[in-house]
Amino acid sequence: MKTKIIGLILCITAWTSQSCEEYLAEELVSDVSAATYYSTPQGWEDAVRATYSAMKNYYGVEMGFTMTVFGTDVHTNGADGSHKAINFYDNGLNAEENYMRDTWRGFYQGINQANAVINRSEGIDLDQSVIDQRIAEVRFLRRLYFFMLTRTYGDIHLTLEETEDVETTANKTAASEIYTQAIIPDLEAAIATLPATQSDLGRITKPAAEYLLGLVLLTRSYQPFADPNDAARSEALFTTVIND
Amino acid sequence: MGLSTIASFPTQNFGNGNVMGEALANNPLGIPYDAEGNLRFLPTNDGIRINPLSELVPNAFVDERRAIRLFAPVYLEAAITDGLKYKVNFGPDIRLERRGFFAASETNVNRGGPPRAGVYQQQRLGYTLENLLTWEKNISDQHEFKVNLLQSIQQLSFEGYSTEVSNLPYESQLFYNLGTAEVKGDLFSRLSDWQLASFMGRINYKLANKYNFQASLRADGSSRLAAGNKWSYFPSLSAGWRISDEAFFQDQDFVQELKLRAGYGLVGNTSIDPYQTFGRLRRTTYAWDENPAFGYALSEIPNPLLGWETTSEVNIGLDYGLFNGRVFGSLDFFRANTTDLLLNRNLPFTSGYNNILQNTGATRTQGVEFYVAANIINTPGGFKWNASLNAARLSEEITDLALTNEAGNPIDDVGKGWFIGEPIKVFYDYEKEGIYQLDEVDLARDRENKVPGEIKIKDQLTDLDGDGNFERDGLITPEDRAIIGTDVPDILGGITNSFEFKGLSFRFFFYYRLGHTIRSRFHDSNNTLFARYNNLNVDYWTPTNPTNAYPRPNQNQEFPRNGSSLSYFDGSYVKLRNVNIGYRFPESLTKRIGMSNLRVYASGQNLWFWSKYATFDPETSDPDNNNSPQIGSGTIPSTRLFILGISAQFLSK
Repeated sequence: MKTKIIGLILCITAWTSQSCEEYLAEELVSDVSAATYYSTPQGWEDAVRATYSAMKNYYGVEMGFTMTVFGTDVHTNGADGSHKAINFYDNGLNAEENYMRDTWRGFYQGINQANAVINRSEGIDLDQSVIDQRIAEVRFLRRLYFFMLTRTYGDIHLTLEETEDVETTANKTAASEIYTQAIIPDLEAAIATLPATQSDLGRITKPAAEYLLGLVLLTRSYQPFADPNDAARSEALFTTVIND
Repeated sequence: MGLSTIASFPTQNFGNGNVMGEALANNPLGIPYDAEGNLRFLPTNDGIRINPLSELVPNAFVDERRAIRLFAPVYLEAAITDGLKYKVNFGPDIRLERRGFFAASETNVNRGGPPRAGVYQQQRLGYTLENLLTWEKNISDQHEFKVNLLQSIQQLSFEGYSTEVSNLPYESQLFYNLGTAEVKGDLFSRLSDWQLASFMGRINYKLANKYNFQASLRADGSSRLAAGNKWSYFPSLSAGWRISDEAFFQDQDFVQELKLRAGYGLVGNTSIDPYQTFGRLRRTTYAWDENPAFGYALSEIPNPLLGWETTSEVNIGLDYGLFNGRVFGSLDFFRANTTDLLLNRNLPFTSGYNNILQNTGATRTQGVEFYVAANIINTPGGFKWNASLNAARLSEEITDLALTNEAGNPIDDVGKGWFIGEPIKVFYDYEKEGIYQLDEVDLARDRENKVPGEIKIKDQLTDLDGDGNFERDGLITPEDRAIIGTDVPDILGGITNSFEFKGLSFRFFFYYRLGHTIRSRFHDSNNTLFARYNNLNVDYWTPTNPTNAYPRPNQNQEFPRNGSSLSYFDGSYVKLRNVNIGYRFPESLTKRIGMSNLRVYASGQNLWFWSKYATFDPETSDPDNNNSPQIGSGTIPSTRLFILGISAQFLSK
């Protein structure tokens, strides 16, 4: 009987020796979180690469050409296949159409990713020149995504800060403001920072930024809110790209 | 001290989910066999439709799942002093699962391409440890006390591994030589753990065997919730009164037993996937020229506030017994308010996120349950007939959601399909009014840009200008979607009958569920009216057949527009779920062969059903979509199951 009771006491102390807080602590092993990974050089570079991947979701699949040249002389639908409302301009062409949603969603994910890269760039253990260059890359990408969004949807939500808490509302910013606040100034900054060539083929270069700014200005030149110099500046930028 | 062990080791070939879908979609003019009697992989010249019989060639498609389970609870019990007992329960539970997958070249997944295979392994190692102290004390005949103190911990550790390859050199290996594959495909491994810890105290007090009170308090901690919100307290109270034992009740002999019960309590729910509070990253793909450029993107917002979902329930019940116990049963009412629901709440995509798991919203479920059982016949000759019936009716409604209007009142979350005052799962869609006829050219064009022969959608009463008056605006817009039905039934329950005579027994059980809506993808996916694939035999519209049943066929459509409006049905059914006939050998006989009990039986399941949904058994779920009460396009109708069995118990020496 005595040994039994001692055994029981041992049983009880065995579980009390580890505290409840320790027992219930979660440890993330299979995955990583932004809080721990993005603060490392490797993680921050991965966040930059993730900003690029938002392009793949649009240009790499049917969505890009369906959203841009479907319903024009370039491209029409076949007998079988999806997203035909975009070609027909019929009542299926509304916010319920998947590509209308996915384009919107994909580019805003890319924008938030770019905002996160910039937001978390402080204190990363990399050369400042590398950090500046990467920030210029994601700024280019963020402008590209805003440009695609405003070309498709007109007046849109403007955000230049990483979403760090639950956000349930969106703002509607005039397309003219999107150009002046979000697209043009940082493209000019990107041109100043980016190198003419990159060792990784596909990373944003100075000529790419010049070309995009040219395209942006050319697009704005026929909008009601155009600046009188847009077309001329655009021509100058394109000339630089061709000549260099 | 005690130990019990349950070990099981089933192996099952799940087979192929494409057979039914291919059989339904194939053109009936296709030729399944060539002149030599061999299967033709493509029965028609449509490259997308393969021969469903090819999937059924032995070893063409293998999905073999093997599960090993070992559950071996052990307990140790000791009386410490008089009335004080201590018990430890320890229940290790080990589950190992292996899935072997192989698809030969001529199967739907490969369509003539090289064969592929994969092996998936899962381990679930879990245990529960409970320490239980019980103290019982009776003071005279009048007062009985019982106190329980419980401490318990529970853990489940999951590990999964898988390997997928393709381009196997020879098909006869199935999934038993993955290393030979030319293309090494996906590799996967994963670890996922969770823990629960609980403390509980409970007091029972019985007075004069007539009044019964119970109070308890438990504290539960869950690893899956955010730090600081892992613990919560859940009290409960209940009381019972045996009215039939009161003196004033003894003057009649109609009701022998009557007991009133009432209770109130809180319970918690934390059954979510672990690690959801961290804000995990998602792997992304990109390439620099030919070099991979993988990255990690934001995909979850960390939620440092995630806590318990809590349900508070009130119930009142009555147990009764009439006619000397020949008829007995119960009647129960309950109302459960669930708050802080663990729900994935949609976020505007402009935030860069899709949704977040939050404690958001509240629901109320209330209902009534009725049970009656009767010993209808019990002759001295040994013939017995017992029957029972139960019925439940419940209502479910959302009472609160995270979104609020300017006045601070909760508003519907249309994107999620959540509506205040409605159940969590509703079918929200356009409603079919009929088919546009030849004389409705203008109406069809003006209302929804359609032509005669297409589905006419009902223009619902909507309040677009917000003036409080609901009107029909003559246009079909997303505002014209309406709640078509819910998966909550009006009534559900069962009826059991059992007959016994000497050793013979016969039992059958009906189950019923009435008044709920189901969505049948069978009726829209197989009804494209497109002529490329086989179609349901429906009454479709033509200029000379001006029906309002189904729209016109067209050569240029995957689906008729608003085809989903054809897929909602009343899902009511009554089902003969189980029939069991058996014979128990007399004890005098079984004793001689060393047995205390020997019974042979035959049973059948799902032998018969009645349903308003005419196609097949509506009690089936879409294997690809477990959360949604819908029937898939290629659903395999439910099976009838027959079992022959022997049940034997041996005498211990």
